[in-house]
Amino acid sequence: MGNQELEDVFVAVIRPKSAVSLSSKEYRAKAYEILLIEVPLEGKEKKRKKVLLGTKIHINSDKTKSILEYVDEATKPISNNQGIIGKRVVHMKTFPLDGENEGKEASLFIVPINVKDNSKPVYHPGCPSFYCLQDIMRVCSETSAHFNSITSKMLLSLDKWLAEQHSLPHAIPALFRPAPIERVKTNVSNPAYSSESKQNDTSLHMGYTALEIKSKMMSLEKADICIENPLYGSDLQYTNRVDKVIINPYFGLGAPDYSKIQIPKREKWQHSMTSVTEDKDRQWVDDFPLHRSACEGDTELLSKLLDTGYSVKQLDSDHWAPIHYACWHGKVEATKLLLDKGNCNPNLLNGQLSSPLHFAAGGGHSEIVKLLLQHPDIDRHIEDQQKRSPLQVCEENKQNDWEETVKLLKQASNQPYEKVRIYRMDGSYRSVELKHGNNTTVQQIMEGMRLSQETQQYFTIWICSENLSLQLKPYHKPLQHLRIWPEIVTDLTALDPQRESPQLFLRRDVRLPLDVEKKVEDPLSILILFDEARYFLLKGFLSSPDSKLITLASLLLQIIYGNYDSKKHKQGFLNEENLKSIVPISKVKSKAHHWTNRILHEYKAGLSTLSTSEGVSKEMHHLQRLFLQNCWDIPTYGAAFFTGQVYTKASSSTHKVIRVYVGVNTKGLHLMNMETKVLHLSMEYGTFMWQLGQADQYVQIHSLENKKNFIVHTKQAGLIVKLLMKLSGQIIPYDKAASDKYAYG
Amino acid sequence: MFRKVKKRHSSSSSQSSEISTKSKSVDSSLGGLSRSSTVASLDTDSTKSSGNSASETCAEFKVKYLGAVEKLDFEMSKILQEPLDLISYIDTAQQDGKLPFVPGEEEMILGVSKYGVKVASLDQCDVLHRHPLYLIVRMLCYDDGLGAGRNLLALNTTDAKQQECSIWVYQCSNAEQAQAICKVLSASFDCVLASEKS
Repeated sequence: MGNQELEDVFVAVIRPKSAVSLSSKEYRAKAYEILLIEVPLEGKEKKRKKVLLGTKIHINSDKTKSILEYVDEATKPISNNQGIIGKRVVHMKTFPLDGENEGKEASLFIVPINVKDNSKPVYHPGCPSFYCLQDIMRVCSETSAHFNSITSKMLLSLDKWLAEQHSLPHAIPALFRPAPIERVKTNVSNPAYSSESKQNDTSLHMGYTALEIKSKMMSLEKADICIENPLYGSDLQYTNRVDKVIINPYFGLGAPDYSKIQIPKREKWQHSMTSVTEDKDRQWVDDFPLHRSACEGDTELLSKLLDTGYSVKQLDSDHWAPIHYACWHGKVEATKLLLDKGNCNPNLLNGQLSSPLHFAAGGGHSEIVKLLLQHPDIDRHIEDQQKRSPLQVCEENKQNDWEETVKLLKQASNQPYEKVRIYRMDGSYRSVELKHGNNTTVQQIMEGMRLSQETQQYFTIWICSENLSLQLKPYHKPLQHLRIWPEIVTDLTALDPQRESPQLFLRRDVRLPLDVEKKVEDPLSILILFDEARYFLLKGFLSSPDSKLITLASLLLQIIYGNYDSKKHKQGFLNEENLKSIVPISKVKSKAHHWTNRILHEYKAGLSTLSTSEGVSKEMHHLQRLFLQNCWDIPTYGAAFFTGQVYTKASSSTHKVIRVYVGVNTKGLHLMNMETKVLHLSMEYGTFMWQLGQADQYVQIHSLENKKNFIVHTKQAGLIVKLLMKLSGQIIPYDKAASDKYAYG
Repeated sequence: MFRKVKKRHSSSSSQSSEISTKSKSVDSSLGGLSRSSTVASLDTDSTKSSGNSASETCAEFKVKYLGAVEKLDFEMSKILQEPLDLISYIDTAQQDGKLPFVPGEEEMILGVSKYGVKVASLDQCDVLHRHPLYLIVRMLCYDDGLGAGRNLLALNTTDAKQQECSIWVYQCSNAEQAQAICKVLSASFDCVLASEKS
C-alpha cells in the first residue's frame, strides 16, 4: 500500500443555509456555507489564514469513498463526534500547484451536505468550521492575505462554478439531492450475470449456473420460423411503374346516395389492365366488344362478333387490336379464331409498334407462339420499337412457359421461309423467299429476285389482277396488298372484287425514261422488256398504224420461228392461231387476214435487211431489241393504264358512255377506247392541263391545242393525277404531300 | 395506463407488501433492497402456470425516455454492479451534462416479456430500443431525488460479446408503476428458469 502514489485533493464541503435557496434560480453566495480551516501564518502567530480542507488520497483508490471518509473524520470534532456524511463527491476542477509542489496538480472536489441545522456549532481551534460563503468571497482575491494562494484560487473558481450551476435547471437541486443510498428502491439483477465474487454462496439459481441461465435466455432469441424473401438477390428489376390508377370520378361532388350505388360485376373490372379509370374501363367494354372477347378468350362471342362484321384491325383507346389482347392474355383459341376466321394479319402492330408475336413471346404463351409461327404470313424477324426480337422479349421477361417458347422461336429460325411467286409477263415465275412473312417489302423481294444491279433498276413489282394493275413502291409490303386486294379493287373500281385475283409481277418501272431504256444492253433486261412489250402489243395496248403492226409481227415471226424458210413459211402458215401470237387480238379477226402476205414479205425481207444492211447478228437479244426499238415511238409504250369513263354527246339529247383506258407514261396522257383499243387522244406533257375533281372521283383534262375539255370519271383519278405530276416532273421526289396508299413510287 | 397488465396492476398494491416479506435475500443495510431476481413473482396465477401465460404475455407501461450512456467498457459494468454506484454514476453523468435531469415530454410504451424489454413509440409502430433478456444485466429503480418523487428506471445492458455495456434510463409515471416493471422483469427471469426444466 505504501508504494501507491498519493494525490493531493482539496475538498469544499458546502451546505445551503436553508432548503429554499435550492430552488432559487439566482445565485447568492450568502445562501451557502463552506467548511474551512484556520491555520496560523508562518512566523506570525497572531495572524491566521483560512484554507480549504485538504488531504492526500491513493490515486487508484475509490476517491468518493476516501473523500467521504476523510470529511467524516475531519468533521467529528465540530459535531459531537458524529462526522458529517457528504451526499456525494463532485469533481470540480484540477488546479496546478505552485511553490514547492510546482508541476503537480491538485483537484478540488465539492462535497454537498445537508441543509444547515439548528445545532450550535462547537468551535475547536485547529478544526474546520463553517463560514458564510458570501463573507469569505468578499475578502477573497488572488492576493488576499486571509487565504493561502491555492485556496483563494479555488474559492474564486468555486464561486463561479456555483453561479453556473444555478443557471442550469435542476442542477442545484440535483447537487444537493439525497445520497444514492436514500433513493434506491428496487434492484433486479439478471441471474445470468451474477458476479464472480458472489459465486461462492449463490452460484446456483434454481439449480442452474449463470452460464446455463444465459444460454436458456439466448435460446429465446432464436426464431421459430424463418421466411426468406425469394426475390431478394435476384436480378429482378425494380420498377416504380404504376400498374393502375383509379381516381374517384365523383370526388368533390358531395355525399352520394348510397342506396343507389351498385357494385359492378366482377368480370366488368377484372380485365382492365390498361384502362386508366373505372369510367374509361366501362367505356372500353362497351366500345370494344371484340377486344374484350379476345381479352377474355370468349370464343363464342368472338365468333359471333366476327360474323357481324367487326374489324379485326380496329385499335382501341390504347391502340391495341383484339389479337394483341388475345396474345397478351394467352388466349389460344381466340388468337386462332382471329387469324383464321377474322383473317387477321399476324404481324399487325399496335400503337406502340409491338406485334402479336412479341406479346405472346413476352408472356411465354408457347401455344400461341407456335400458332403464330405456323402462319404463312408471319414475320419471324419482326422487331419492336426498341429493336428487340420476340426471342429477346421472351428471354427478358421469363414468363410462364418461356423455356418452351424460346425453343419454338429458335426452331422457327431454322424453318424454310414461305415463298411467293413473282411472275414475268411471259408467264414464267420465280419463287422468292419471304424472310419477313407478309412484312416483306418490295425492295426485299427485288433483292430476292437475284437480278443484277443493272437489271433491278429498270423493273419493279406490280400487283395485277384481270382489270387492275398497280405499281408498288419499294417500301410497300406486297403480301399485305394481296391480302386486302378486294378492298383495293372496291376502292378503285366498280368491279366485283371476287373476280379479281391478284398476282405479283416483275414489270417495267413506269418511271423508266426512254433515254435510259434505249441504252439497255443487258440481254435479260431486254428479254423482260421485250416480253412485256409483246404482251401489250398482243393485248392491243400499243396502238399504232397498220404498217407498224406488220413490221412488229414480222419481227415476232423472226424471233419465234427463226429465219425465214420458204419451204415452211408458205401462205397457209399464218393461220389464225399463229396470228394471235404476233398480231394484236383486236386485229386478228378484222384485218390480219389481209396482212399475211405483207407480214410474210417483211419476214422474208427482214432477213436480208438485217443480215446485209446492219450486219447485226441474229442473236435473240438483238432481235428483241430491234422489236423494242420499233415500239419506242408508239405513244402508249410503257404506260400505266387506268380505267375510266367518258361521257360524250352522241346526239343532242342522249349521252353516250365510253369506257376508256387512261394511259400515263413518260411521254404524256393517252385515252384509248376500251373495247376497240382505238387511241382517241394522245397528248404530250406541256400540251394539256389537268385538274383533280371533287372527292377524287374524276379528272378534268384541258387540251391547250384545241382548247377542248373532257372529263374522265374514275375512282382512280387520284392515282392518275399523282402519276401525271410525277412523270411530268411536277413532283419533286421528296414531296410527300400526296398520300401514297397504293402505287407509283 | 398500461394495457395487458391491467388486471395485475389492480392487485399490485396489496402484492407489494407480500413481495418484501417473500423475498429471500434482503440486504438489511440497503433498507429492503433486494439484489436477486427471486424477489417476486407477479401474482399467484403466474407462479402456478409459470411457463405459459406469464411467458407469452407482454406487460406494457407508459414511460418517458431520459437518455442513455452507451458503449461503456465492459469493466465499467463490474464497477457499477453495486446499485449505489450505478446511481452515483448516473447522477454524475447528469451533473456533467451527459444525461438530462428530466426526460422529454414524449411518452413511450415499455413492454416487458420473457423476450426482454422493448421500448416502442406510443402507436407501437417504431421500436426505439429492444433489450433482449439475455443481454439485460440489471434493472434498478430509484428516486431521482429532485423532490417530485419521480422514479427512474435504469437498465444496464451488455452486448453479445460482453465487450461493452450501456445504461438506459427511463422515467416512470409513479412509484407503483416502477415497482410493477421490476416485478414483471423479475418474473421474466424466473419464468425462463422455470420453463422446460429438464
